[in-house]
Amino acid sequence: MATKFASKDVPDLFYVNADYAQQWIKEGFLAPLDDYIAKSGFDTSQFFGGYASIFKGTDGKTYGFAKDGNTIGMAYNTALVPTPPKTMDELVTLAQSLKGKNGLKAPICLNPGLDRGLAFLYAQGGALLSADGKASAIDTDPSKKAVQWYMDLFKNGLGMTASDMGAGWCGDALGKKSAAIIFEGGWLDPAMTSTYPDVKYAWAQLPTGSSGSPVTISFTVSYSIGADAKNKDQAWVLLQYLTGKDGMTKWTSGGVALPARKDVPTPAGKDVLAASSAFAKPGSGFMPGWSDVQKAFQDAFTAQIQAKTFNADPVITAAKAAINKALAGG
Amino acid sequence: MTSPARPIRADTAIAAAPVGDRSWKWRRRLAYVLLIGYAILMFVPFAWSIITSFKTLPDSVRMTVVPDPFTLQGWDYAITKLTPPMPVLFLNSAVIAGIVTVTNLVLGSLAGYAFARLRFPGRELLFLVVLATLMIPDQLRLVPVYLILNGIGLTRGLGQYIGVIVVIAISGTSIFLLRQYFLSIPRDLEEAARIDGAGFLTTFLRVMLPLATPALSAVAILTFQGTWNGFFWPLILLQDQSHYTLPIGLLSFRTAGGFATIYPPLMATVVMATLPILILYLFFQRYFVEGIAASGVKG
Amino acid sequence: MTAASRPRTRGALSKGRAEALAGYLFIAVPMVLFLVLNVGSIFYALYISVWKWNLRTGPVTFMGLDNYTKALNDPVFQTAIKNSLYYAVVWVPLTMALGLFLAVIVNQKIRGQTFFRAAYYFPAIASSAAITTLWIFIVAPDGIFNQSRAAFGLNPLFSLLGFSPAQNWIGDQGTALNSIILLNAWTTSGTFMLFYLASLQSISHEVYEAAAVDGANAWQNFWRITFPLLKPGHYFVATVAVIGALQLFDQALIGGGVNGDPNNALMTMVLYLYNAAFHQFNFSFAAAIGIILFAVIFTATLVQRRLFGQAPAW
Repeated sequence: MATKFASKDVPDLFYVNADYAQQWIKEGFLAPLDDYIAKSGFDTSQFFGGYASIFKGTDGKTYGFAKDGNTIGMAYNTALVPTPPKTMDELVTLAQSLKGKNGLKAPICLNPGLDRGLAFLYAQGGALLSADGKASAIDTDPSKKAVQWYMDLFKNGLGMTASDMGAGWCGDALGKKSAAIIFEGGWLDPAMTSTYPDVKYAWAQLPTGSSGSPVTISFTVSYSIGADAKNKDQAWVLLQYLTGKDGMTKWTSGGVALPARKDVPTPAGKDVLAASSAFAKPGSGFMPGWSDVQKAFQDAFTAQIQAKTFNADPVITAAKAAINKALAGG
Repeated sequence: MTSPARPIRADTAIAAAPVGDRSWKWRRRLAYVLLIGYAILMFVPFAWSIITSFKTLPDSVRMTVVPDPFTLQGWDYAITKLTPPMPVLFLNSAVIAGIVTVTNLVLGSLAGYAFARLRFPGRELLFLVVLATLMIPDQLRLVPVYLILNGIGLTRGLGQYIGVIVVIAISGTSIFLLRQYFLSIPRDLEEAARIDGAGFLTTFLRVMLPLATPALSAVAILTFQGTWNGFFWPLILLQDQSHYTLPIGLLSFRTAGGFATIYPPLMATVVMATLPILILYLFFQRYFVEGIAASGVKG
Repeated sequence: MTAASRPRTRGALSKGRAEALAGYLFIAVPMVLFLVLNVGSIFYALYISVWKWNLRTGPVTFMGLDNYTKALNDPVFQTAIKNSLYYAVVWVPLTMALGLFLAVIVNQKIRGQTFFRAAYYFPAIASSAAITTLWIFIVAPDGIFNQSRAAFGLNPLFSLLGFSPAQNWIGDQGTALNSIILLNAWTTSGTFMLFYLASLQSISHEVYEAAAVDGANAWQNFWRITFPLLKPGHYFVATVAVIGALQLFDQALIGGGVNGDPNNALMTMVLYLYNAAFHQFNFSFAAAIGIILFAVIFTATLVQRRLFGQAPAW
């Protein structure tokens, strides 16, 4: 897409991934929508909190509306896991009982980065940023313990990366029966039905951790209008429809993504994931320089698990440095 | 025993062994076995990719040589379900490689002839420019070329094809090889044609070009292979998915697609990416070798 | 009518002029392309690298050398340089040696010479994308390499070296770059073999005849005669190899993704450049990286010229 911005070959209406939203807003690629909202009286109150904030600029203007989203849930092989665990402790016990059995490479397939790890960090009472989002909180005691807890899953052989299992991503691991439990979003369903139709699995909410309340992370994409678009008015009409109640109902009934609005009914088979939308925190796009922070965390984390030292401290240090740098505008 | 009268060359320096030495014979046999073994090893990975493309997914991670069951699922998946589908990738690769080969032949032979045989002021300096282009890494010109093409609209829609072709339309190596070859042709025929009143273009087309078939074949093969296999400029300039060539398709399957470990269709795509060059190689091996060796003569 | 008696028509170009015109016309298209998109682009790159560049609007503010200092201070770029240099230092001699070895063998008057030459060059004909994808499949944790070494009972040997039975060769930060080195040594050895073959065939027999009279054996022939006489060949192959090594990209991108995973093990200078240009869309930064890369390559080439002590015979 960015090459389209560069070549001024901008579609009138297009998706903006949360990962890029803040950067594109800053660079002036997106058109502000506030005038359109005022003129047409579009109801913006029904969007889930976790999705709406991402597409607002630092100037307070709105640059897009979430067209749908996805939350991370727990998908498990029903043949190997009769009852899904409800808490993190139960997850660990279950994994220990599955370890080394049934040809599993590891009970759980996990990512060594914050693209999934963030959910576990939140669940175990940690945080990346302070409440006002202006300072790093990765080095507080709860955060450190949370990261070490996640690291220990790898250390004790309960979790393994997809790559080490010979899979491209954890969905592959579930499909090839290399793992019994994975953490993914609604995109898992079409992938499983088309590539691994014989594997029976089910969804459950992310187990509750020591934080005591259910939490997960979400990813979303907005519809936005290009700043250079030629047909902004018509684009707004379409955007309004697609992110309004009726349009979103129609387009999310298909089954990959979840509605971003509370007033849209849940698509079939997605009850668990949709219910998580209420308490999901953004999994990306909530701070500047997110991809650098992500990379710093993942690089340090990977280094630890591959060197088999499994120490969370270097990961914390690297993440903290990256967060501070990102917050400072570097 | 070697006698001084028998010519010793580099190619017999090792093979000329004392006759009648039995341990040497066994060592030679062992050497042959190792050499043949290593040669066969060269083909094993590609053979493995062919075999895997006919297996089912669970079977593809087993070490068996015969697919069990033998299935066309992988191929079917590659042709119908991959995005972009394999036939599209194949077509894109073929069109671009074909056009670039033609431009290299035309522009390369014209320029090669001019540098070899025509006299014009600044010829040597301009030829140095040609050589200089071989020293400039593609990555250095990534950003400037992209911005230039962007500025003239060759980074959007169908212009992407034109952009790629323009960037690799002519290579310094083609000009170099053809110039080298033209230099080696005796002047008599040319002079005879000039005396008969032929113009420069006619001399070139009717007399020189037909004489240069070996060099032209080498350039054609090298260019086709290089472009068909080319990765860098298609990656940068062919941004629309439906424009991808086979190598870029493979990359996108590996990094973005989630097809990274769905081996049978992935291997089917690998086979299709390699098959045309393989066929060319089987029939025209000599030209590959001559082409590479000739570009090495520079040193 | 002979040429001498043909009257010169008024207005026609003199022969010399006509030839020059033809010359310029014949080289026109390539020269324009080269000057604009090739040689000229260096200057444009320099220009771009000193301005902050907005994707939509072009140059915004003058940055001076900020991009360069930012790059050289970035630990990820430092790792990239380290990786590129390590790769060059290990891969170049390895592949040259392999190529020379194969060339010497194929040059022998043994049966099946053409077959061997064809076979040993074969891995070089496939695209980097295809062969790297294939390689990743073969060295995957459950791929045939790991499986066959288990079947041949070689695992104890590997364990001694610290490799587990399900070793993730490309995905492990300790082995990723070395796996790529082996992959590229295998594929490029064929090309270097052909380069060396051309040089080998230009060595005259008389030298060997003289050596034979002195009673030299094959080993001495190789080290005392062949190897030194190949100096132009060595120079050419080494130059091409070092330039190619410093430009390592395709395999790094396919193996480690745009971030050089795992943990920057596969981050090379060019991958870093690509990342800056097309994932962070920081064109001016990427242009600066390109200039730095060119400086490194140019320096390496100059150093080699010094070491080998002669200019190539263009």
